[in-house]
Amino acid sequence: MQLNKSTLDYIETLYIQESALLFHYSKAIFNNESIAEESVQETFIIACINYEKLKASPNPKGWIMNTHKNVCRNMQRIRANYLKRILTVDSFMLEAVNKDTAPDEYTDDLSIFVSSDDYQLLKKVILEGYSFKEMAEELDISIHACRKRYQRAKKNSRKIIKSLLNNIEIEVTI
Amino acid sequence: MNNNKQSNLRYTYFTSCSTPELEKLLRDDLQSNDDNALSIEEIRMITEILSKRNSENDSDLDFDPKTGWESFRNDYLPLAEQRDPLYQEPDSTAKKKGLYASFRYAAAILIICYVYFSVYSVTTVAEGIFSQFASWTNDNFWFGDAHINEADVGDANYEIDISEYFENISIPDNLLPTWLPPEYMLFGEEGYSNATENSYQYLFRSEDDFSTLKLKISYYYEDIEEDKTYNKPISTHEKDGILYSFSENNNTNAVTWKNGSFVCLIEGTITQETLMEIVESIPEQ
Repeated sequence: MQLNKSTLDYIETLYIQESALLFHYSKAIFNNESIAEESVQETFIIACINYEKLKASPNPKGWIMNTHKNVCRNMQRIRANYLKRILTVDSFMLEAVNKDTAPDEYTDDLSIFVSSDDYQLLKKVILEGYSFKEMAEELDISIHACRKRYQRAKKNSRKIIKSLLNNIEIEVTI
Repeated sequence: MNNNKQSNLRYTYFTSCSTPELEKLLRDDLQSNDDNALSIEEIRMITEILSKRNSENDSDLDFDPKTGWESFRNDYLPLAEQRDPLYQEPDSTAKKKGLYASFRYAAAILIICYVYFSVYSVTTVAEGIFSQFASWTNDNFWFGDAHINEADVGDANYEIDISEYFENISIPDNLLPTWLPPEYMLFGEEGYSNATENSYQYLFRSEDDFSTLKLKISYYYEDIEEDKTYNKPISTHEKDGILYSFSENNNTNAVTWKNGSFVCLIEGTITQETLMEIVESIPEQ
């Protein structure tokens, strides 16, 4: 989907007019400037994707603010969900480390996963409040690549937890 | 004139609030149900006040729209052009605080719906994906992913777990559909609880044209009339002793049904035929 100049100009005008308000909204929600800024960017990603609906709206500024509110709610929910998952994975790891016996083949996979760069990236985004942009800059990769690694980590974390709860062998892609 | 006066009064009130108070209003609003939410106009008032105060105080907190736009063009616009938002990741087990009731995780009944939207696969969706995977156990409603190669799966996997929001309430086996149009992805949810009802709704959006679909589940603590949630029906369908009422409103169609103390609604920019398919996927007791 290539955005033409007139669409970009329209989005840019709205961005210049509204982004500061959106930023202050999400700063109040997240108390984190990086996440607040990224939430603004996410809102305008969605605005670009839904350009026709935005343009057709009788109140584009209201549309943007409403979308931004949903973006913030979604981000809050996702972070809460993955916080639980990370805590579960880490608690399993702690239990495995504290065992006197050598880890079995399932906790070997857990160890590999927990020490992986992907999982560390997931933790930084969820626990330490890094934005994707900050992580991308730290790793010297694109935001898109950073997000793909994050998604891989979240999928593997689900597999790990499922396997540990069901005591079945899993295959983790690192 | 009356509206302007009310707006002015509200603005005056908000300017009298401290910054932490205003920020708390925004946070509480995000957690609230519709009845108590701030209007968009009020949210804009509050954010304008916060932005103005930030400028006047010469705070370190700084967001420059022009710099932000450059960053958007360089770093985020490619995602928009790929129709791939950062946080489009409807994975839902979140609980609401504040005005929503607080629910503990109940393991008794779990409904997990997977909507797989493959970004890379050429698999057709002629037959609902849900129907391929649904299998029922005694205690769980489980939509399995055994037939999906995860390498082909995009970001659209999601789960819904309604047991969290209906604590200590027995959920009928024949309450909810096992199939929703697979092109719809969960993108939001919200709910509320009060003395008379628990309600929770899941909001879906199609990837192609961003048509929307809503699945709303309400539990009423007292007896209610059948048609509590939507317009006059244009047709009805009875299945397994449950009456399904189909209705329409402008460009949206809906179906509602009552099962014991539950009232469910599915509403969206989908056809009546698709709604019937959804209804037909509800299992029978």
